[in-house]
Amino acid sequence: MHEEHHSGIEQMLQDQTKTFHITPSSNSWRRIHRNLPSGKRRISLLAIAIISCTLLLLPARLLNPVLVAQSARIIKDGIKHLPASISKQFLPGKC
Amino acid sequence: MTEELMLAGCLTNDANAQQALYARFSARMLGVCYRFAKSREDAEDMLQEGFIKIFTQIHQYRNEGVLEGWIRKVIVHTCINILKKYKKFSDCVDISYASSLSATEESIPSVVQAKQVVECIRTLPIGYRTVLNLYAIEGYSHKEIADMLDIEESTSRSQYTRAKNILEDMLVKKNIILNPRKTMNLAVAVK
Repeated sequence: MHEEHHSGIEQMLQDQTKTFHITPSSNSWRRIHRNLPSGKRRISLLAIAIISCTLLLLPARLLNPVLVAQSARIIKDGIKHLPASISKQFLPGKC
Repeated sequence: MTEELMLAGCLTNDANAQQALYARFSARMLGVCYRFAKSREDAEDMLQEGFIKIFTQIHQYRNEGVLEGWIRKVIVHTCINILKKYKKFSDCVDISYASSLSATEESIPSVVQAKQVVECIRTLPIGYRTVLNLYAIEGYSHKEIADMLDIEESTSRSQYTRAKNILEDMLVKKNIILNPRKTMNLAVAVK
């Protein structure tokens, strides 16, 4: 702090405002908490994503492998029709 | 909860530690925001934005100096950034308008002296108020204030002088301080 601050009205203002507190409204903390990136929340979001993907993919693979194989073949054929430079990235060594 | 525990918890985004830190400093920091803000609602918005910054940037606190000092710095910078969105601090207030400002009974509840002083500060035009808050209370230099508000150092100095004169008049009228000019004359006469 500057030396010139230590005189007269500046000192009085500092002393007076030091004791000036206001209690925030009751929902203030909740609003902040909602906007914070919480570690627990990130983990639970990741867990939800993993569970959702598993639930979506597992039945398709286990219950209908023919459909999965057909879909894979269609995708593979589609990729072959792409320009060589792009399809190489998906099917290395096959185009 | 000790400050060290709160800090360690906040670094791992622990909600209990964050809440403890908020509970300890929020009232004091809302008092800071209130001096900069136009209304109580604006002050609460500043406080919330400030605390979100504190929790997301707490790893930048290097344990150098007091934690409260670092928190206060983040809060003050948040207030300034919010004010800068809506106001050009280089705009000077018309002197005759500024001189006509006075503390009215309605604007200043005469309960506690600290509150009276803060309410007097809040009646100042935004440019004066901000410079006065930063220089006289937060302890920033005119050079730092000029950088923060994108104004000339001389503007900061002149706004501060005017703000101080208006505020002194208000505080004298409210019998919070003695007239500094009269006191000075008296001192000269005694010499």
